[in-house]
Amino acid sequence: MLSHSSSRFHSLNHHPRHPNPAIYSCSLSLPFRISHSTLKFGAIDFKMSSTNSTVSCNGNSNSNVDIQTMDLGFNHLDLDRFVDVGNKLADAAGEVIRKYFRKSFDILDKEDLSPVTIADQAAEESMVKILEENFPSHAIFGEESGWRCKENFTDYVWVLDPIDGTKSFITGKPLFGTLIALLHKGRPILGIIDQPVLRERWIGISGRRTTLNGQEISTRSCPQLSKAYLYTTSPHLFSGDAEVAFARVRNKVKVPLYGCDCYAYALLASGYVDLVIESGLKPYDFLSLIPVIEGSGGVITDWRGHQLHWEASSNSDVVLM
Amino acid sequence: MSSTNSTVSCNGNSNVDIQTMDLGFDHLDLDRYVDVGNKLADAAGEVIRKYFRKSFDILDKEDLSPVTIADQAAEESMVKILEENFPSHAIFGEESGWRCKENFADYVWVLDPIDGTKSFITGKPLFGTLIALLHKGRPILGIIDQPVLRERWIGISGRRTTLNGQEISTRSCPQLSKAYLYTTSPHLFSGDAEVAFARVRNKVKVPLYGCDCYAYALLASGYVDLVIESGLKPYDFLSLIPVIEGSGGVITDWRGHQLHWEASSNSDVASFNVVAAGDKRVYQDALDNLQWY
Repeated sequence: MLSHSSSRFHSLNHHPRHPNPAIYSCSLSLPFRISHSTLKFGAIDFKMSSTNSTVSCNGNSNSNVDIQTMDLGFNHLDLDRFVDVGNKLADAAGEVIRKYFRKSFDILDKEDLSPVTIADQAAEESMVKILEENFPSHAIFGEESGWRCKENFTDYVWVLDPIDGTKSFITGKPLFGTLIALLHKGRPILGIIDQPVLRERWIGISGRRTTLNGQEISTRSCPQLSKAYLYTTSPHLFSGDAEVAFARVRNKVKVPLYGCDCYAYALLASGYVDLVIESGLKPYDFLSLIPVIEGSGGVITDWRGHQLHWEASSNSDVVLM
Repeated sequence: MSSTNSTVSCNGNSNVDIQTMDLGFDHLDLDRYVDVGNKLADAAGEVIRKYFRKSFDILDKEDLSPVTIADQAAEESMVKILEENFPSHAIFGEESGWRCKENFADYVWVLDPIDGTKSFITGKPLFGTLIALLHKGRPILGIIDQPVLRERWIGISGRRTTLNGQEISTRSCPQLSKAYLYTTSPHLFSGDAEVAFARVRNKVKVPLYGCDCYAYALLASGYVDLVIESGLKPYDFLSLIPVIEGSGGVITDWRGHQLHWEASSNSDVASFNVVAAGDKRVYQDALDNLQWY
């Protein structure tokens, strides 16, 4: 959430929902018809200490008062329970995934030519089952199975991508991730990036500091592009204008690197990478990243600097953002 | 070749160790080299794990690739072990260059402590420690070690390649359109090489990026079909040769010639274009499309 005021920073404790009506209005219409692709910035222009455990951005204090949760109608106990179940989801998906990683299995080619694996489907099913047991009134939007809910709209939506980076998974490269997001009224309040082979789990929670395997983490300082380490998954995922725009940044960074899927965003949150820029991401691939990155002091928006937003519902198109 | 059972026959090769008898060393020598090779990887791994994802100084080398203290310390730890165990052997280290009493030696250890320094620096655990032992210019031992994931591929002349002690095998792949291809970065090809690479890349099933030496290890294990790179230094490909050949794959330059580099105190460190494949058919298809004459 980058507000267009003189301050380019976003504090951990203050989430203006309507910073500027002109900006916010474009994120309220459904489905989206945004012609430009999304861009995810890391901690540009942040000055923070990367070694100690408190982060201050622009003098905002990192107090523990959870202002936005009080605004939005849920409390710490609810949130803790959501985190608890989120961990169970990641545990369950991880068990399935480890069973299939580097084993031979059937590959079904989906319409958009990305291989779907039995592991993908089984992992998603294992998560859906847990959610139906624990939160039967919540909705679920799964990358594999789409929308699942008793109602057409609900305050809480779990958005799941069991294997982000299926091509990495298929080629035995252990950097894919299980992505889990919980939206409350369209806003991600919980995000999990889980790498089940390396046993690394990043958890981002609204109003709290992001952790990696329980340890608080922080993005690092980086004053400008010429000092930045940039990641993107593949040069082939940019087309037309997006390719030209991306090249303008890529030509200026210190080192452009490839092939990391969602793991790159996790590395950014941990302070090892400065910038991640991608095009054509689906909502289930970026919603979980938002709490993880914001909770570690970073920033993540579309290429115009607008908040990334997607209201999941039974009518949602999964358009490119 | 069969990719599922544990015996591989390539062109009728059996387990008789013909080439070692020709070249003047025997199984016991080789076992000792493997043993010390493991110690080298253990030592480098310990250093590397200490520095991985910790803050440290980065020194920019002349060719703009970051050198880390870990790189230098890991190489030193390996050199020390070699000087203790094989004082008559030569060493060619990526960091420290040629080291030997003589200007030439029958046995040369070629070391790259961190291949994929940019991955290491960005906290991505897919870089590798590469260790090769050359006998009269020919790699007889190759090790790819990933010290964070604790994965070690060992290729030995005349033997089957192992990953953490388990024998592995490349997989079948009849042609480019079925192939999963890896290369590290699109920016490492220049001029004609870029054009040639694009000819292959446009035909493969899936082109993927960002794997450094780990891609060759995945190929030897049967999860990847093709790896094509340009501008590799000898210390970055010599160790791959026994690993890939011992798992049933093939690895050559883009003309289909054997990769060869004689290390000595006078060696220039030339760059090579490398193609590796798990199946001879997709290998030939790649060469036919690279058209590198």
